Amino acid sequence: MPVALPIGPYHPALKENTYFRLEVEGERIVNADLKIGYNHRGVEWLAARRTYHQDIFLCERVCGICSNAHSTCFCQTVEDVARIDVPDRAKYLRVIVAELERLHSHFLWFGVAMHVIGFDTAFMHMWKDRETIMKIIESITGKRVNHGFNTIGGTRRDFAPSIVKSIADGIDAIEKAADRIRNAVTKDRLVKKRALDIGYLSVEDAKRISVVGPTARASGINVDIRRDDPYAAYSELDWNVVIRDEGDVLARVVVRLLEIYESIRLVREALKSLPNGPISADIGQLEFPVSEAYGRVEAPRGELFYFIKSNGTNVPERVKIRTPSYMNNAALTTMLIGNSTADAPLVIASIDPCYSCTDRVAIIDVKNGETAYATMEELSRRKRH
Amino acid sequence: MTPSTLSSLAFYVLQPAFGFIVGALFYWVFRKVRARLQARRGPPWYQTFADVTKLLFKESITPLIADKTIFYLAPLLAFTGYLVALLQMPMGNVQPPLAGDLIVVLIFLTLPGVAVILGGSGSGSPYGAIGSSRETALLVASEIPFVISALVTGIQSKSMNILDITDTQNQFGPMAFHYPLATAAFFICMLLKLGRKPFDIPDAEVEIIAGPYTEYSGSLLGLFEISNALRWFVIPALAVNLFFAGGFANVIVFLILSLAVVALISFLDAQNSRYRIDQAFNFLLTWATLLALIDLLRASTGWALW
Repeated sequence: MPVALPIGPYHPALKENTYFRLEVEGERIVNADLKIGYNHRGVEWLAARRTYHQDIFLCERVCGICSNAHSTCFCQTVEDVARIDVPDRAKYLRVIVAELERLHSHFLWFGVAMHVIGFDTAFMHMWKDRETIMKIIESITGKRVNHGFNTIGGTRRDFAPSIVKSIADGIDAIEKAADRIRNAVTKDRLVKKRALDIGYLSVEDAKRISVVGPTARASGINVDIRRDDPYAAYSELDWNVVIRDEGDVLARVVVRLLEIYESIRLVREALKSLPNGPISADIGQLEFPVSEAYGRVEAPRGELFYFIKSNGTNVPERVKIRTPSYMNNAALTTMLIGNSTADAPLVIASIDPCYSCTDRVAIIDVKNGETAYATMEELSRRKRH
Repeated sequence: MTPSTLSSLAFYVLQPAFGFIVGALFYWVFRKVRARLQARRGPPWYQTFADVTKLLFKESITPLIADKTIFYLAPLLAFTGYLVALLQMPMGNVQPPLAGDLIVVLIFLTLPGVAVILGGSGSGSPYGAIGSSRETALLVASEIPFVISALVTGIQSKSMNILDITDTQNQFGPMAFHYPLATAAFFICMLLKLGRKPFDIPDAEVEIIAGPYTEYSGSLLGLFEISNALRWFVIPALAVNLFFAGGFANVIVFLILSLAVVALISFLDAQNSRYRIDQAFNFLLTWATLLALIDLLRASTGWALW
């Protein structure tokens, strides 16, 4: 007789609120269910009521970790709608900040993963090393989390040649920290024992659920938006896409570890070949034709998708966001079944889930099966009752 | 009342008080050392006392579906177990009147484990139930190497009295020198008895919140905290008595050696991640038991003894 074990909505293993219902027989998980929707903020609805320039800052706040990926994706899509050409220097600056963001996101993830298997010492040290990256990001953009770096037509800030040296030194320190992670992850027998052969996701399942990003690349799917649909300056730089075939948690660990080295390489290359020139296109009085466009960006967690429909005014008619975690979360129920409850937090953590960007509210009328999407006002009205 | 009964009565009060204060300080040392190894600052020295005081004055909430008797009994059982073991514990040249039957100590040290199993399953929480089942598995797996490695010292001394065991070591040399494998097995089990990594599986916070302790609050949790402070004194003290000659008949050396044991445990805790329950079970029943058995064989046959 299976027993229901709740993980969430508030749980020490989850940094955000979501709800997993695990049916367990002893220590074995026989069924799993996921419920999201605890953190819904109505961002898409808000985006259709603000001007394009206000939306940059709104979209940046969709996620607290990949904030720059969101603003980059939004700006690139708007540039597509308004047919603006971005100067070369801005493209390189976008690559530098995007890769620094991927670095800090992966370091953060490694820390969380180590905490989940109980290796708190590694967790603390990895987050200490992550501060180096945060300091570099702060020196470039002026802020740690929501950078406010992108704007329609380029970037809002440039950095002085005098800080290039300190950035390069910081990158060297990060590479040393990455070597320490590699030692902790590959040489520690206990870490390997915990991550090997759990949370398996086959290629077929991965394709059926359409997982994205490192989760897909660890299941042998060769996909990376930076290479497949190049944006910013990625097509001009030399780097590799990391693929593993094993499909277990250890493969996802290794993919992220090797991506750290690729990101370090990308930042170094971009710094070396950073062209001179303006950082933003001279857009003057912006005019938006009645048009629509979509944009894709490889966020640290995978493919981020934006669709924007313009109606000729300075307010978009529709902004549709599909975040990587929305796809990856769906794979969790498949991954969890058959594992032990002790592995559940690690399996959940292995896709690097992020819930604030994922939450949707759908109201389903049970009697006639109709589905409706609630607006922010309607939600707050319901809350009061 | 004769002066000797008076002094032994004083012992019954003073020794637990001493054990609690030193144990709380040892627990603080552990937390501080671990924090420094993790690049953190760590708590101030009075943290355990502050926690216990706060908890004892707070309301205890009992879940409606909990079995009241078992829920209240569990913290008392854990406290009793460590208290009796503590009263049996000689400390260097300070020898309490009850000291020191090894068998009684070993039996009463299993009581807290039983208490945690009872409390977790009686609390009516799924986290408590899973924590209890994990504690059961660990108790079964750890008792074998723990008892065997302790018995090695008894066999060498031809006595099950801790005083005789420390006396033997004063002539024969510390058991840690003669029986390194049993010492290693005892240290592995000691990590488990102290609920440290890689064996803190019953209350692994990221998996099952606080496991058996999830539903405990207020003074009942405070009683568990007091037991925890006592255990940080009793278990290192037992290790020093059995394997490091009980501090060579000197209470200061005894305390310094206990502190060294605590420091070693802190280091091991900071360097390890958590085992999964089946991995811990296998590890204890193969490696730890094997180490203890080899030294048991050496102690009972005198084979390859130095």
